Amino acid sequence: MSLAQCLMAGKVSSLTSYFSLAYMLGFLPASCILYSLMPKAAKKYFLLAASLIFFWLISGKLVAYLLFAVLIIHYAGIWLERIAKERDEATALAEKTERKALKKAYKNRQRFVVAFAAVLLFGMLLTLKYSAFFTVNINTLLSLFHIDLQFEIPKYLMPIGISFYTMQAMSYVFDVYRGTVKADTNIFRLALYMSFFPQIVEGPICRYNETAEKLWNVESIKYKNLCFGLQRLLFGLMKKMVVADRLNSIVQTVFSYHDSFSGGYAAVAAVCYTVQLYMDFSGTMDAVIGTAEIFGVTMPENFKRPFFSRTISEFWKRWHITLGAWLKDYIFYPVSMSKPMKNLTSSARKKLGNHFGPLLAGSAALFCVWLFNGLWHGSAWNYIFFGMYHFVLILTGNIIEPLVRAVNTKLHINPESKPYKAMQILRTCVLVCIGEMFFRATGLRAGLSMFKKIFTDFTFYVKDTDIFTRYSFDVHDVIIVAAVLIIILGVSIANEKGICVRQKLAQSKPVVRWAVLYGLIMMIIIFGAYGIGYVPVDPIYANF
Amino acid sequence: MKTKYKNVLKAAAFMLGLVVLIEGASLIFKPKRKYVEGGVHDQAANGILSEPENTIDMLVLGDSETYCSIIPLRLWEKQGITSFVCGTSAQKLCYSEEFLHKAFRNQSPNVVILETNAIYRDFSVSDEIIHKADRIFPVFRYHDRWKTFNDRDASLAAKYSYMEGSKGYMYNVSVDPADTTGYMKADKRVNPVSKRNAEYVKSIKEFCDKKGAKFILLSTPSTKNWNIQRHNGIVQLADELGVEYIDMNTESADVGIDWSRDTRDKGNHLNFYGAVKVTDWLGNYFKESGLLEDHRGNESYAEAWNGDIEYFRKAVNIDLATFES
Repeated sequence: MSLAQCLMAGKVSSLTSYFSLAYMLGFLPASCILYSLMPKAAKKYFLLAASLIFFWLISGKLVAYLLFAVLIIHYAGIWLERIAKERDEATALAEKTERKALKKAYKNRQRFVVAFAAVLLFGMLLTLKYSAFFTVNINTLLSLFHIDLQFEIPKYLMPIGISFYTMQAMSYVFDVYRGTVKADTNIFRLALYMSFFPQIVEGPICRYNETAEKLWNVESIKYKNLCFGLQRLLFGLMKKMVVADRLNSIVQTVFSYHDSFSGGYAAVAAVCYTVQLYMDFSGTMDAVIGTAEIFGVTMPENFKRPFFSRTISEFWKRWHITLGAWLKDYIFYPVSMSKPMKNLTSSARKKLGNHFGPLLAGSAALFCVWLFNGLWHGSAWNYIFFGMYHFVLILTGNIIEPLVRAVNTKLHINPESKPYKAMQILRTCVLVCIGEMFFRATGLRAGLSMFKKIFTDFTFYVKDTDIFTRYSFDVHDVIIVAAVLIIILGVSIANEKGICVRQKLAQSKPVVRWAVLYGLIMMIIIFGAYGIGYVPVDPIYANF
Repeated sequence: MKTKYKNVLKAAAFMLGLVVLIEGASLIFKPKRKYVEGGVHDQAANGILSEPENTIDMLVLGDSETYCSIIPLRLWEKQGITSFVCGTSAQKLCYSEEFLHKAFRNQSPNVVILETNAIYRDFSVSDEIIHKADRIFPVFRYHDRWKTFNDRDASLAAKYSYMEGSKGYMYNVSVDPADTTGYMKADKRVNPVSKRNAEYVKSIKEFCDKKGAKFILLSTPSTKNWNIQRHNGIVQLADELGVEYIDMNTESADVGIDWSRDTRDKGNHLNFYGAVKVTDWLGNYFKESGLLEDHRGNESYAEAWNGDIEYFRKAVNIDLATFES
């Protein structure tokens, strides 16, 4: 099929992976070259056109949903600002005593606009992503109650990245409502903020004040940016091709045929999947941030060495950071700071004290956050379980915090000592792996069965050996995965200590720099899991 | 401006260094012996490279349907036709084209057959790019060979001397009957061939025309992989390209497949019994058409091919000449 035919059909599905050849050798270089040839004033428009074409190529006519979302937030923003302007004018003229009532009336109008935009944006997301899940569950309930009524399960085509761009769109509306950003009258700037091609598939979920201006004021590609961007992309490619894709055979086999594997294998698969997910998602973020860097745009980081976390709360501040920040700013704070919750906190504080009092309202907000988080990842019960699992872990951590502190004091344990920190890190890693096992399982029942086997049958045997021999994963693969993980661990430790490895590399002698880059490239070529015998993992977060 | 040129030069030098490294790695990773143990992929199909020059009259391309359905040694035994099956598992058309070009390096077959199941196997632009890169830099194809490196890999010289005794056919005698419900049930619907794949078939056909070989599309019997919609699609494609099309799944072909005995995996592939029927049908067809020469009287051919038949007979304990399905 020629490029023109692909363009017309919007059928270049391989572009959904930023590591596909179609992207790395086709779309990205072509965009960079054409971008460089554009006059300065046209660069931003070119970037917008390239982004929309990219989305069209991966989603076809579903690009209409994205454009509709842009229109919604554009007009909602203008509407909100107009109300704010009217409010300011009215309150300036009003008597002091009337101002409060006036402000409230205008606030209610603004809330209506926000609710209107939310209904449209989340309505699209709910319909396209969740309607089938809800219908299946309603049908199950109806059958349970022997009601002779079944609804047809709707089937919709879902645009790639809808969960990401909907969150981004809503953050803009909320921010304009809160007055932290001014409404943008330039619909093209807003469209570029929403659709910038490196981030449209898997995020990060950017805020308007973080990227919109930077994207609109892009300049020519600089040699340093190009080198730094490509280096980052290469590092991500190594994570994806050498580790994530290599682990695919064992992860896919054990999770698909979990009934045939004993508990030992279930535990290994849980760890492998956690590593795979991290390598796939953080590797993709390296590609996204690296691509943006080429164009001179700094994107927010989505990972900050999550496996160095001492608690689950800390883990979620380091893993998928932009999602966590979104949930904190637009769900946790609004719920916990709402009037009923404030009242609950003050009355509970009197009865339960300063620790447990505020915890009550905080827990209600936390529950909303984790229910949303679970559902955001997918429309299935195992995702809801995944959310609730983390809710329970964080809540338990909050509840027993004074007890742990007291025990530590009593036993003279220094919580800042290295062994204690190491124990906390290990515990967090184990809890994360268990959560990810439920996340990856083919259903909640499958997840529970695997979890049970870890405790009741921690052996290493396979019922149907034929299944295992179909996939190849041997000691060589273990060595390669371990070697790359050690490299990544080294880089992570350096970064954790505030040493910027990339900067260090840039300052080193050209011979050293080139040797490292050649080494990295040859490592990907030789040890990458591609070609005959390998099935690369599809971009995991692109499905959310 | 000076800095700009300097940067371009640096980038070019870096790329040049990278190409040298990849080429070097290709020399190391390229299999040194044409055996599976030597890391070579598709050993049987690559056996065409070791056949004496200009001795193969019929070439078969396609996926697993080919090496399960056509027995070149039986064709030799019965009709004196020399043929080779360059079929590989799940072969995509870009690989079929590669085998075609590879085969024509040392051979000049009069007939080239493309099994049509491969025509319905989709592949992406990336597959094509990887495939082309594989051919230029073998390290992309054989990068995984580090797992089986041995002393022989210290030498960069490759020695390809492996002779494929069964000429690409894969013997399998197990029986697992097929359910034929709905198989080739009359239907006017068409499963169209994708444009990319049609372009590949066209390109293979043009190559054959240029080399003076007759190009034939062949659908071997398979209840799982073949259906009337696909048949209609290939009929359409064959008409467009002006190519002869034989569908052994239709009643008109009358190959006589007994689906309770002639398949090894519920109709997905044929077993030896089914392959004998397909091969005999093809042999008679070519005998009648006069397209292919009988080489049995030629001593140089007879010595090599009869030797292979003897080897095959010993290996599987079946006498090809007298076996009647």
